[in-house]
Amino acid sequence: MNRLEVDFLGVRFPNPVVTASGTFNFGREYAHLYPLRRLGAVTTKGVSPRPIAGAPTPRITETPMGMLNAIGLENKGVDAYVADELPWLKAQGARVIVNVFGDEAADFAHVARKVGPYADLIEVNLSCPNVHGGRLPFAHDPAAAAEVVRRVKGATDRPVLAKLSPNGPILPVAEALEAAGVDGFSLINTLLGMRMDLERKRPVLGNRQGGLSGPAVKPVAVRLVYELYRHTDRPILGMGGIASAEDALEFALAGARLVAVGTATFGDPYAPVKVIEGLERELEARGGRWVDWVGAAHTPD
Amino acid sequence: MPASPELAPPRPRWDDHAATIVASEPLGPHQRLVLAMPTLEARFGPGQFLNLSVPGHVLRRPLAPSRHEGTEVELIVTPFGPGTRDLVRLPVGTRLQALAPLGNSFPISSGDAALVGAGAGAAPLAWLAERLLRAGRTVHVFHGAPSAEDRTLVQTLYERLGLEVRYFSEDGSLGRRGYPTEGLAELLAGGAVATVYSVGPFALMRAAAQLAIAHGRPGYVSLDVHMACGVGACLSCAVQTAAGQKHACVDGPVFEVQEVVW
Repeated sequence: MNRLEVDFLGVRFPNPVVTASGTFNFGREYAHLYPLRRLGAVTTKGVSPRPIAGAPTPRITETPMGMLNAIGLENKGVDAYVADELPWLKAQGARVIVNVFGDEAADFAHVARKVGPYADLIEVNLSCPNVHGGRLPFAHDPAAAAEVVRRVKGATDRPVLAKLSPNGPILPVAEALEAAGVDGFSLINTLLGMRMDLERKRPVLGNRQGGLSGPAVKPVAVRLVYELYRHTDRPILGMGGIASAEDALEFALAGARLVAVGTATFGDPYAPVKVIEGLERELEARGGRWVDWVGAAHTPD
Repeated sequence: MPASPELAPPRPRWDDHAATIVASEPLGPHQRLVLAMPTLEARFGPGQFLNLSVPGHVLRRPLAPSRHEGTEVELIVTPFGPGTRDLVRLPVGTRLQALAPLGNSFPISSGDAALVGAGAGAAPLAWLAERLLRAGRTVHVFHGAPSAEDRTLVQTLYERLGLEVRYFSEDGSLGRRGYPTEGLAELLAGGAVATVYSVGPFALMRAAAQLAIAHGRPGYVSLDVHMACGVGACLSCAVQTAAGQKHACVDGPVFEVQEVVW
């Protein structure tokens, strides 16, 4: 009996543990450590229509029990990945979640159309700036975010997840996305933060501000997953500071059907596999299945 | 005749290795750590690095060894932030994890070599010096520091190799007052045919690179850019080069001076 097996939007995952976008590139760097098909799925680095060079350095800095990053969405553009990394990743037998973004709704759809053949799921990064919306992130503008989802849904037959930002109210956005036909949600993206350099008397990061991730954000993420679960019947991919099986089970109780390991991979490249093995042990000891834990904190006493 | 570097050997694949602290001693403001890494079969080349865990910290710390003998890897750590401050305080016997070996290494020059460093930049340079001496090269060493504080570091790393170090201090308290690039400038102006290697603050490496380029000498630097994964996944450590954007962890940390956009 596989206690970890889970169906998510019609895709069967041997376990619920996936990598978080931007922390695993396209998997090639880690493929000599363990077979990528051992993971629930690989979520790719964000893919845009054209190459993006990214932000000035420093792009990362450590913070108490976390880190800030401002990579600036560096990527080689969709055509490079469709030519090379995505076919390679599928050939590894991995399930693939492709993270897509762009300057405007049509860009998202363009990328989703091209990566669709390699994707089990599409994850839409709504935290990037909307160039036609005063560079306000799509995630902070329910109408703009809904337009992105409508266009992406029209461009691919793959299930579409919307990645939500914790830097604004999530429920109004989630409601608008449901009306636009979104299939599921992933959350949380990073929390905006800043760290100062006392010598230079300037922010440490080249981009000044960055996204906070790691164990420091976990309670925020668990609460938001819990909150969203109460308001939606669509499945949730939960993430934010997950580094152990216990962390993953917290997210399951809150309502996450899949979970992502992100920042923990920087501290330990085997972290996603260790979370899977930890879940196997935990559920063996406790005698349950993963799916029994999903949303279990919401059942009446 | 210009030096032509040997072709770098194919890189062994990195893994996560147990690393136990078997020695830890202060060298002025720096700390010398020796790690026992019995499962690490690949040998570090000078300039290559490991990404070392620090208990209680989310990210590892990239460090380039100053020596790799048997199963022991020697590191020089300069405490300047919370992670490195915690690292130098760890007692002997502490078990850590290290991703290794990572990055590329300095090529061995075909002729004389001039090493220009400051602070803990002396660590990979001393490992390089050992390799250069073994290859029969003449090695000139120029080391800079704010004051006499690096005396024990230099004694430990270079003098054990029998190398004479030309020391430059900003306050004149050890060696000459000034910067180590002044020594390099004099060497090259005197007609020395040497390959230049530099590790230290960005401004120092840039000055050393400009001298190498001006004298038509090959030169190599090791660029220290903030990184998280150390293996090419996070794309933190971007470096601008003549051939476009690269990443210090996998394309470097060693770069040819002509290649870097200074």
